[in-house]
Amino acid sequence: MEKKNDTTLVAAVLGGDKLSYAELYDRYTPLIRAICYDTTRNLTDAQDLAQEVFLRAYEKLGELRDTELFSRWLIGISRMCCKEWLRGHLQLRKHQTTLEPENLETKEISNDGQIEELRSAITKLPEKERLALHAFYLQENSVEDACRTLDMSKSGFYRILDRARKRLAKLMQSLPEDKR
Amino acid sequence: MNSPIDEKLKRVYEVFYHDHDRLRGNLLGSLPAQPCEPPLSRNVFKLWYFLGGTKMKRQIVAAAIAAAIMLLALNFWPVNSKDGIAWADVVRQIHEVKSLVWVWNEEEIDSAYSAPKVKGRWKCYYKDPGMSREDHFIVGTTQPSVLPDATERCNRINIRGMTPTKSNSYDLAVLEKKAWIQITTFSPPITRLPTEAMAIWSKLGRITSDKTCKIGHKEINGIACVGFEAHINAFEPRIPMKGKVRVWSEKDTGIPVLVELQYQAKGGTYISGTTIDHIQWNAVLSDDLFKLPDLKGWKVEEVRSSSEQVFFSCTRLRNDIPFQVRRKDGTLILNVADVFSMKKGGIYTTLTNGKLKKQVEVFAVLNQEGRDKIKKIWAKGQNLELLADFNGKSQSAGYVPISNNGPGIMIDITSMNITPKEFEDNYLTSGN
Repeated sequence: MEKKNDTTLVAAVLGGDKLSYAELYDRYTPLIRAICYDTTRNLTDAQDLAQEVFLRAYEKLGELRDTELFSRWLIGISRMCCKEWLRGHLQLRKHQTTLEPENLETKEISNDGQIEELRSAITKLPEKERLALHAFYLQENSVEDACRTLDMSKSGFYRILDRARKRLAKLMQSLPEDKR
Repeated sequence: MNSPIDEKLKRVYEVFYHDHDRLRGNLLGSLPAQPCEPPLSRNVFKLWYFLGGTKMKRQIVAAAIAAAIMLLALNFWPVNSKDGIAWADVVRQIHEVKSLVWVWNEEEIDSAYSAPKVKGRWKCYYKDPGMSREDHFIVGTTQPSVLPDATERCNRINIRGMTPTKSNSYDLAVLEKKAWIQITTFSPPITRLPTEAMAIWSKLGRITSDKTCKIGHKEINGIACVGFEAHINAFEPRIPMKGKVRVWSEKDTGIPVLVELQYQAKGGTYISGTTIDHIQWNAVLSDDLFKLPDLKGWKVEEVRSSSEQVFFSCTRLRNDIPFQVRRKDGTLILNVADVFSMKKGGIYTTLTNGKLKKQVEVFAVLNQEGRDKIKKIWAKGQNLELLADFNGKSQSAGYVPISNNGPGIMIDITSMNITPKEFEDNYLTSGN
């Protein structure tokens, strides 16, 4: 079956077709969860926040001017939600405990220590490089899809992706041998 | 891209697919029936898109547009709108003028203020700085003209020319079939406007906006004008009668075109007093206009005088000076306690037909108590001939002319036979 583009799906959603929104959800939810995870460092919170992002996006879909830029718009909403979450979370923490910001990291989501270290290393990358990694690995390694999602040129995307991988490798190198 | 790190990264991202179906079901179940409709039409959105991409950009653009509209409004309203000139625009024109020509139509008002009689008119010229000329024309006179070649009969001319170091004043008049000239030299030069006809612009320039009101529009000699009116007291606070001054200014620039002074007659009606018209703003005036003209065919009696003024650096009368001002009958009017300061002194020299006359004067600034004493005498209409004495031994005294509201008195010290500088050295001190 031919893959519908975002514009078609958005138009269908605006026409009342919720299933089209489900298709958009399937397409972008992992990416949005990954972005949210960069902030929450907790899968459950990231999942909740991603749900919030999609709910808001649905409510404001009529305000989207250029439907081709749905993915960038969605990333923008997720950034805004992350900021709000962080603000609320920090205030809550302030009243409850004296934990430092780095202690926001909570439970591990994998038994594999190396995977956890890698996940942690990704959160230390600059946002642009993080986004490139998320888009590439969550779009089934499709550079075209990742470029479209991030509204970037291929050459630009490759450059950033390459830089991200190198930086990540360097970060992993700096870890003790048993954690690499 | 199938390096070991790739494999690990794939595993890193697998976690974000966890529970996907359940979460999707939850979301779809909680969605409202319809997403919101676009709040504005697509065309408007396109306009916004053209103006700026993000909400912040749109807000900045909107703020910039609003600021531009406000600036535009402030710039053009009310100052430069079609009839939006304010009194401040008129005053600005007066203060910035470099040369001016106008006709002052003088009307004599009788003591009952019942009706004006045309007395004459002055054609006035002013050129910055401090050069002026007033040609006076009397209506209905049979006297010959000062300037025989002039097309109009002119009975008096006052000219003030100026150099960087001195002012030359020429007063030309017709007296018993001969021209009479008084040439006065002022050093340092006088830059203020000398006569009432000249000073009217200074007075108009001092009227504040809150003392004027707009009275409407009128076309004068084909020029669209806006009128302003002020009470005569705003124009001249000391004037005893009631009245009003009207200034009609060009509506686009604020340049005065017509000035009317009207006084209130006893019955309450306003009668015309003075009209200023034929005003030429920043006209090109030759310096020759402010030099002594050639008086052909007249027997000239020339009086030359000069004025040298010194402003004192020490302004306090010494404590041991028994200064007094008395009336001729000996009644004490002022003493040293009534004098605030001694401001300046001057030597006035007059040369009439080879005879030299020299007068030395000093000017005393009075304090409020001293002024009140002088005003009291003035109000009673008593003889103001007073004698001032700085030194009881020498009996030096001088005539003291006093103006009604003047801040001080001018004292003639010619009989003391000293210069203003010597007066300062011997009678004044810098101490309090």
